[in-house]
This record gives sequence, C-alpha cells and structure tokens, in this order.
Amino acid sequence: MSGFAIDQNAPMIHAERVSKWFGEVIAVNDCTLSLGPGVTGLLGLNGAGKTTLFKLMSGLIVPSQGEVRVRGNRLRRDVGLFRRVGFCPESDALFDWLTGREFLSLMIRLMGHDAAEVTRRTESALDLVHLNDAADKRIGAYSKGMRQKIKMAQALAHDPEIIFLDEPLNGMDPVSRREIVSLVKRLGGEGRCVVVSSHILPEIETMTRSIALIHHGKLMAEGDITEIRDAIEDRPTIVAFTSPEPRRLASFLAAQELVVGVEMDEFGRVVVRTDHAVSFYRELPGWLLTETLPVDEFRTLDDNLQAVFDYLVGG
Amino acid sequence: MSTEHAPAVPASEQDRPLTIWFSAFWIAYFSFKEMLRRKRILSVGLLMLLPVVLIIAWRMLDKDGIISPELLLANLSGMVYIHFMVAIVSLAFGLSAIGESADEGTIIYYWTRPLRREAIYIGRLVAAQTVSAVLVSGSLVVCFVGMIVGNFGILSWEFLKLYVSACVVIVCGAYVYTAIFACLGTWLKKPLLPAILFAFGWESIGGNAPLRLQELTVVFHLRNLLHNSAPDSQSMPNLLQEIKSMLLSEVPPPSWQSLLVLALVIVVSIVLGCAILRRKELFR
Repeated sequence: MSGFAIDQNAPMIHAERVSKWFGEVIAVNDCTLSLGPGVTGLLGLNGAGKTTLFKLMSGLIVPSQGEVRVRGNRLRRDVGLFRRVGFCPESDALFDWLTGREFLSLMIRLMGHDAAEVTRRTESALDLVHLNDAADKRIGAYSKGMRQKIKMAQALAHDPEIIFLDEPLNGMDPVSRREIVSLVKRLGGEGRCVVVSSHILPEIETMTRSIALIHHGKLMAEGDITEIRDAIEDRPTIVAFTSPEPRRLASFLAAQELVVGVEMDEFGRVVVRTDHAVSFYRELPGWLLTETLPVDEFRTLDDNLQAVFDYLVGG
Repeated sequence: MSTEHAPAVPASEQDRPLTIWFSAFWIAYFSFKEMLRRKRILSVGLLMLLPVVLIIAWRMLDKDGIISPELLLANLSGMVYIHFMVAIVSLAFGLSAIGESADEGTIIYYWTRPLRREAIYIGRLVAAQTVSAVLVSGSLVVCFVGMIVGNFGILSWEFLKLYVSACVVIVCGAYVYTAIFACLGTWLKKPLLPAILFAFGWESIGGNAPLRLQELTVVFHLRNLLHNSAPDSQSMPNLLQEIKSMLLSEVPPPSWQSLLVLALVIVVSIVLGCAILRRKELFR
C-alpha cells in the first residue's frame, strides 16, 4: 500500500541539512540543496562526496542526519517514485552475462511495462545511445565506453523526469562524449531535472552553467557560474579589453567606483579588476557609448568554471 | 517558477510500486538465466558428477552384489548428497544470490526500479534455489542412469520408490540450504567461512549429536524424511537398517513434523533476509 502524495509545488529534489558519515569519516556534511528543471552539474574533486550525495538523493543510502525528498516524498520509502527517476551509476558493475538487449529489456520490464512496450522502449533506448549493433553481444564483452552507454540507456529508457548521471562520460571516446553532452543538454531543455556529476570541469561546462560544488563533503556553492563567481568577494573578477585606445580606456575605467584595479598586460590589453561583476557589466555599455570609447573585444578571464572551482576549493 | 499553490495530488497508479509477485517473477526469470551463465556453474556442475564416479566404481568393483542398489542409493542420498553435494551447491548459489550482487554493485539496478526489496529478495532467492535444484536433480538423474544401464534387473518397485523419495528429499534440501545461505549472504559481508562452518561443522556435528540436539539441524530432518519415505523395513537390507538407526534418533519424529520444520526454516530465512535487505545500503 502506497499512501503518499505528489506535491507539485515541491522541488523536484530537495535535500535538507543532509549529512552522512561512515564511522568517523564524514562523507557529506550538512548539505541543503534544491534542484528543479534543467541540468545541474555536481562538481567536486575525487572523494569530495559527490557519489555519496548522489546515493543519498536517489535513496540508495540513508542520511545519518537530515532528509532528502523527491517531489516531496522519500524515494527509499515510496519506491514507486522510481518510475520518475533514472539513475546511471558511476560503478562499472553490470550484468556481464546478459546481452545489452536482455539487460535493457529487464530494466524496462521492471518499470512495469508490457511486452510490446518493453520491445519498443528497448529499441528506442538502444537507438538513443547508438548501441544497436552491439545489442546482442554480452555486456561482459563491451568496451568501457559501451558500458557507459548501456548504463545511460537503462537510466533513460523509461522516460524519467529526474535523471542522475554519475560521471557519465568516463571512458567514452570524443565522439560519444559529444553525443552524450548534447543528449544531456536536450534532456535538460525538455524540462527534466538532470543532475550530472564529474570531476572534469570542462565536461560540466559544456553541459550547463548551473552547478553545485561540493568539497570535503560540504556544499560550497550552488547556482549559475557567473553569479557564484560574482559572490566570491575576495577575488575580483578580471576582464580584459582590446582597444585601439587602451590608455584612454584604462584611465576612464580606473576612475570608476566599481573598478578596483587596472593594468596593461603583455598583449596590450587593458585588464580590469572588479568586485561587482554583474553591476560592472550592467554599466559598461553606457560608459562605452557616452565616452565613445572604442573597444574591439572584451573577455572575462576568470568567470569560467575552472576559476570558480579554484577560488572556492583553493586549488 | 509559479508562486500559485497547487495542492498535493495523491500518487497515481503510475507511482505505485510493482506488485511483489510480478516483479519477483521477472527478477527470478532473468536471474535464473544469469546464474546459469556464470562460470561457477561449470565447476559446481563437475562436482555434481562425483556420485557418478562412485556409481561407476560400484559397477566395476562389486561384481558379487555385496552392496545392493538400494543400499548404495540410501548411502549416496544420506551421506553424499544430503551431507555434501546439497550443501556445496547451495553455498555456491545461495551465498551469492543477494550478497554478491550487493558486493559487486549490480543490485543498484534493482534498487532504482519501482520494486519492493522483498520482491528483489524473493526473485533472486527463487532463481538461486531453482539453479541448485536443477544441478542436484541433474546429478541424480545421471546417477540413476548409471545404475540401471545394462543392469535393468535392479529396477524394482522398492528401488524406484526409494529413488523418487530420495530425489524429492534432496531437492527439498537444496531449497532449504539455499534459503539459509541467501540470508547469510545478505547479512554478512564475508559469509563464506560462517557458511562453511554451518554446513560442515554444525550440520555434521549437530546432526549426529545424541538425543534431541540433532533435531536442531536441517540434515536431521532431511534424513528423517528420507527414512520415513524409504521402503518398508522388512525389505531393507540389514546393513541399511544399521545405518539408519545409527544416523537417526531413537524415536524419529513423523514426516509432517520434519516438513514443518524445514518449511519454517525457509520462511524464517526469507523474512530475516528481506528485513536485512530492506535496511541495506549500497556503498559501492
């Protein structure tokens, strides 16, 4: 008997002050996190607690403290909700004795579909990850990349609205990576909640600007990369301008309150430091127009994921 | 995001877990296929041919008929199968039914489906029990063929009755031991040593212990069933009578009592195993 209710207003995933410890090791420490539609990158160094947080969110392990809810319910208790969830684990363990097609059929069958639907969805999932040719080979004979794909396929075959992908690009060749990245972006664009973990920052950056950064089990930051970058007050944002009149531009910008430093770099660019990047970008077009300052190009040097990550984890 | 409040809606049919029997059936079906393809099926299968070697030795060495076919069959069932073969095959497939799946991490694929953990447990256990039963039955069939080929004179009603009842009891043993080992495998991180101690320590020593202590072993009840279903005492060879009285307690309990105990052992193992699995977490 399943007496739960689906709260449409509840976040798709909500973790409230969740902690998990194993003996004396704290794997996840007091994390509060709400995730909605779109792709969110869960970032962290190896051993930061990403996989533990994934397992907590998907009900595979129980929090030592706090609670995780999916659509307002606890997955571990209300297992019927797993029809809405797709999980692609990091672990390489698979049913090596089954063929890819048998494995997918079982996984879809266990979602409660009838035989015709199982066949249809199996074929469509194989298509999705381009594994049709290897579908009748035993999984034990698959390459690392193919194993990743079959794991992805089982996570997506039942059309879930919440998708957990733990290091999904591990072991994939560049072409497959591109395919999976565009698939992930498409799933996020369709309004699904996709949580992707990785310790390879450029991978995440190609999928999303929305991140949750975990370090030593603590959630360090959550949100859009630019907003997070702007919130790091002790590290001014660095913007480089290429201009035919660099000295005039430099002296004008140096006089602005939002600017904390100006210098010329070895490429002749004007490098500006600002504590308030969002306000700076808001004001910038007005300044350039009213002062008729010519600018060929400007580029933020450190609001990329790597810089944000380095600043936050002290890398 | 809309600020308008939408009320919580009751979970639809789509959000309910699958029924235990539906999911257990499919898990058992695929797990059975999976277990049959494991490498260990070969080694355990070969081991199951050990009694056939004894049959061949009997055919070659006992030209004078000192050991009757009934006596050989009774000894094979009571000593070789129930004490050794059933325990080995149940160890191989029972311990791994859930434990190995959790250890290697494949259980994650069941845990992320709308399935109750009881269904996962029952499905995997039924698959393991069936594999054990198939292996043991196969071995018994080969033994039977080995005994009667070119020796059809041994085919009597008493012999057939003894053979069939031995088969039923031995398969029953495979179901009971596999249930126990599946529970152990779910419970313990390293279950092999405790399982071996149980199968070849407790069951051997306890099974031959005096008075009612032996009734606390599975092997006692299996032997009791075998004894009670064996042909009439009058037609049994003397040596067999001796063995039976040596192995069993003074006043053996009725068959129904042993059946009840064995059924209870299976039920308790399943209930415990399900409870352990419900609380289990996945660390890999």
